Amino acid sequence: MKTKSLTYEQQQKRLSQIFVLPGFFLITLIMVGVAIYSFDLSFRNIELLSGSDSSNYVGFATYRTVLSNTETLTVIKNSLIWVFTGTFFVVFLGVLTGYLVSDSKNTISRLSRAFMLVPWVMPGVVVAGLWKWMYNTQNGLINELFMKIGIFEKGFPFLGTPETALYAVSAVIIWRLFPMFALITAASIQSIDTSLYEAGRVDGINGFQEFFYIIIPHIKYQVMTMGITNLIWIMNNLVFVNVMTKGGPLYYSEIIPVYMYKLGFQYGKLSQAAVVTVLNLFLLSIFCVIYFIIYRRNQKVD
Amino acid sequence: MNKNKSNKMLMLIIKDAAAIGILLIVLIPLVWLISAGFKTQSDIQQIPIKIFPSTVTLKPFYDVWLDKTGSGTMWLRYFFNTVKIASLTTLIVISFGTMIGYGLARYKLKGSGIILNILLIAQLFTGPALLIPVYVVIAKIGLYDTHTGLILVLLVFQVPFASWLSYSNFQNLPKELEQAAFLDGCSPLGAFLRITLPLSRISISTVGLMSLLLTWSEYPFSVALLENQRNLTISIGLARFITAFNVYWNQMAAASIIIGLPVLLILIFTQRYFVQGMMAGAIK
Repeated sequence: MKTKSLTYEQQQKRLSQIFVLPGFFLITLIMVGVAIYSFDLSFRNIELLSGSDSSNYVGFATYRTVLSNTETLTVIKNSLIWVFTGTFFVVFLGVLTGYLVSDSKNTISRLSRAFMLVPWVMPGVVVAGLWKWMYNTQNGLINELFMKIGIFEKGFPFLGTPETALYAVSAVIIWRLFPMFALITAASIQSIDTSLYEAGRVDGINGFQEFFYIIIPHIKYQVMTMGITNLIWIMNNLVFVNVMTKGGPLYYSEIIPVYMYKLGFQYGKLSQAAVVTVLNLFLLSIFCVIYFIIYRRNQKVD
Repeated sequence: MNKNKSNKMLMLIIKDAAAIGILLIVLIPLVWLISAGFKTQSDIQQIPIKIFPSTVTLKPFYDVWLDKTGSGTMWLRYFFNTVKIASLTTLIVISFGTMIGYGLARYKLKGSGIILNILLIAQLFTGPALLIPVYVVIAKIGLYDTHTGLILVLLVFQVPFASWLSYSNFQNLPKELEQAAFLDGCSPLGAFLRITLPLSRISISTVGLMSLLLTWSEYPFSVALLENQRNLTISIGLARFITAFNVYWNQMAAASIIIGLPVLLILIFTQRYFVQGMMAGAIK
């Protein structure tokens, strides 16, 4: 009876609180707890396999161990190449092809758009396995193709060669992400008011001017937010390198998530892995801030 | 005028060529994979390569999924493990996501803005960034190598995006219907259950299918948190298969086809909403 005396607003408020707060706090608690815990781990020196399982605090000693390891520097260099090559090509190819298939009346464009999400929704492991086979020297499709057009005489081990391994895996993540980027870009271009094009035509602008003065300003923020999202996805990707090369040969294709995985689960060096986690979280936060700034500005424009 | 027309023709040709080019880049690897699932072992090893099998066989599917003496028992187990994990995760993610999204959309609580921003940022920290501390925490509370532990972790990472999707959906739903129901003596909870939920069927299923998609293909946490053969998921089973054998590509393809099929079905139903969702997330 008591609730009946409350106004609609008050009842709605109570319901909203009951709906939102428990779930939200639970999730935040776990996430924050886990993040803090990685800091805690990074100031200890826990090594499961060596037997010297000292769980005492050691200050920055583990940080020094990790940062003085040449492997770490290689991994950071690899990750930068991996992230920026990947993001650059996903955005570049995504915008370019998105523009080219944005015609809503063209049947071929429509057919092509219908399949653009397929690489992105395929399970990562399936894509990794498929491409590992595509690159195979004996009976892979890519080597066969190169041999047929006469570039190679025999199969080239893309995944087994230090100079090409990282780029070969990069190509796979680009294949997975750029069609989706193109699809979103195309949808964004289609949402442009056609009167803008007509006005442009009256002013006598050509196709290039149309692209740079009408289309680009309209899709700019969308491309930026999607670009940062893709960058974070690429940065956070474990499955492709782990399944296709395991970071090899040696550690020529090893990137941060793979390094964390290897340190933690193969060597049992949990504290060292936690140090890498903290460094990685720091990098991620920078990109999140950038994402957030663009997102806010985007909202204001709307 | 004539030059203008030939320019237009050229542009049209470039556009068609680009569309066909992308279509081929996307489809050729997949066609190759699908046809490999129906090839015999000698067909797979044959050089030069043929895209389509010379004799169609179902043996790879039998070997992977049904052969009781070989891997068949394992793969079926992986499959049902994944079905179990994915359906439970999806159900809980839908419940939490719908509730949080609805609450935030219907009443501006103190700190609603901050909550939304935190959920937005949390979406970006998914994936293997927190793999190591998550593993240690899960091991500490005794949930290592259990499905419960994996589901718990996946929940934490999926509820933020689910809340956001439902939040934007509920915002587009008019309040007036609920208010009218209230005047007729229905409590806000009753109005939510009887009016709002049925009206949001499509958006709720979109959230559910997205969650299903993510869980079905999940790799980093499954590989870190599960160990025993009996507990593995299809992603891990396939990853192990790929790294262990370099010859049985037809069996890999047969496994991949069954794993990929549900995902493609989901895609057919959600494609439209998905693009809308991505646009809303990125534009608004």
